[in-house]
Amino acid sequence: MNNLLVLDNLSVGYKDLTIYKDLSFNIAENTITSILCPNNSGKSTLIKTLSGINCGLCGSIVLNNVKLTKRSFKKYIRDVGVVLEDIDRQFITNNVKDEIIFPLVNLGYNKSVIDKHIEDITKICELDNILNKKIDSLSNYDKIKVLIASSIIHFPKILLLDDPFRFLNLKEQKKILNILNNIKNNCNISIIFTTSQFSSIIDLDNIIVLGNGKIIMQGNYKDIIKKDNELSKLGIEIPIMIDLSLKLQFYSLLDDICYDVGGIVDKLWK
Amino acid sequence: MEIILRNNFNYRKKIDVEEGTIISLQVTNFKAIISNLIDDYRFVNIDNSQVYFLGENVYEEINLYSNTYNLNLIKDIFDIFGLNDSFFDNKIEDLSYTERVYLNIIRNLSLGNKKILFYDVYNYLDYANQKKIKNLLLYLKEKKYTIFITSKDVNVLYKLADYSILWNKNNFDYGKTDDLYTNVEKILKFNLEVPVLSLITYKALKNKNVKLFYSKDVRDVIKDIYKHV
Repeated sequence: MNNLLVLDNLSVGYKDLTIYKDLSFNIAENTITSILCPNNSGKSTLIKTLSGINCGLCGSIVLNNVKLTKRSFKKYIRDVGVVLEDIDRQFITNNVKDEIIFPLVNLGYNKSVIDKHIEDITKICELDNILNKKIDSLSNYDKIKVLIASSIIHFPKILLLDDPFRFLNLKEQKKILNILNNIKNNCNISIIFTTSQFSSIIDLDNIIVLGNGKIIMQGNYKDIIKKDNELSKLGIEIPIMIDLSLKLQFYSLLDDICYDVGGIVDKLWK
Repeated sequence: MEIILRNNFNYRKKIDVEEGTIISLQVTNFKAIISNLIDDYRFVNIDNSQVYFLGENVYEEINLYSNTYNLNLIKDIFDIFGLNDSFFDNKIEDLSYTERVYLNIIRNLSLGNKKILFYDVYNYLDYANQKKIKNLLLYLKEKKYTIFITSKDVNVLYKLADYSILWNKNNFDYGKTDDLYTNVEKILKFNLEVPVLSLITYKALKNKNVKLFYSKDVRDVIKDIYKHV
């Protein structure tokens, strides 16, 4: 797979504060990558830097062969869709349909193209029931779907999401993950989302764990879960069933991770 | 202290609450019960997506909220949260999620009400911040605050609360957390959630005739399992 986004020795932060130093990693085309890190560790700053809103302190970001510089900024952001953390502040209109098409109207697309795009995006983001609603009347779950739809309506190469699961329960998180998978598969868009919750990364293939200003580990869910002690040291909470399974595995009492209590009891006392 | 609770099925319950205790609520509809408590209890929503700040910076926000705030209390909470005076100067718009949680708690506690309701007490906080909230609860307990807590995660309620309320329609019980949450049959009968560690002990006995001890600590449960496998 080709690399879509390449970070080379990127330092992230503000003039007098470096949050991440010398970050280097690649994001392949058509993938979903989760960046897992504890609260207050600079998730938002990293997403703002990758989206071009903030400047990196040093190092480089290359997206789709375009290096982010002042000169290339416009070309760079054309390929970026972004959903920031504070969901309520990102709405420009007060109607779902207007909100979603706003980027296209702004870019001067004609009506027939806009209608085609909105039809596709409505299906992919499961917006049928809320397309004519007012933004004020939406739940957090629906608001996130609208923001995602609005961010990908111009079909960027990459979608960046800053902690999209923060205000969602587990069921809603799973539904959003399904929508992200739809986007990846149908629109050929790579996705990066940050999170502090271990439950948001279960079964993902690409996970980068950040902490203490650097990359702590990188791999798929199974690789990451093996290092539960390091995750705990970072302050990342492991769901109790996974924690219990891992501890029982350590004492050779269980072979695999078990997600329900009945299953654990049956496996322990066959 | 006597409290009358009412749910939206119009069932009323009267409970005696001691000062300096943490009481968990595991109920099927928070809204009716919370609306019942909200007259007397300061409502602190940890999920601050619905919380609005009016000040430009932290200092202004705390001042706006309370003109009679207790400086010693604020100083103690700053210590518990590991904040220093420079936090006062932070602009509201620059605060991270966790810092907003801190500020929301500080401004609510600075009002001086000793009856507090923490809604979704550990919502989206990592271990380090959960520990800070726990330390705050212990501090408030010591200062004789009466604290109600709710959480999406019943395991959190089991760990934190001294007393618990279980309430689904006309099924109601109030008592010590250790007693209530080890009576798994009753929780299941009420159609409410059972903490994972209690459920393992219960299922081990019921399904496999293995007698484990009830414990809130995962390590103790594992030691006990190890002895019995």
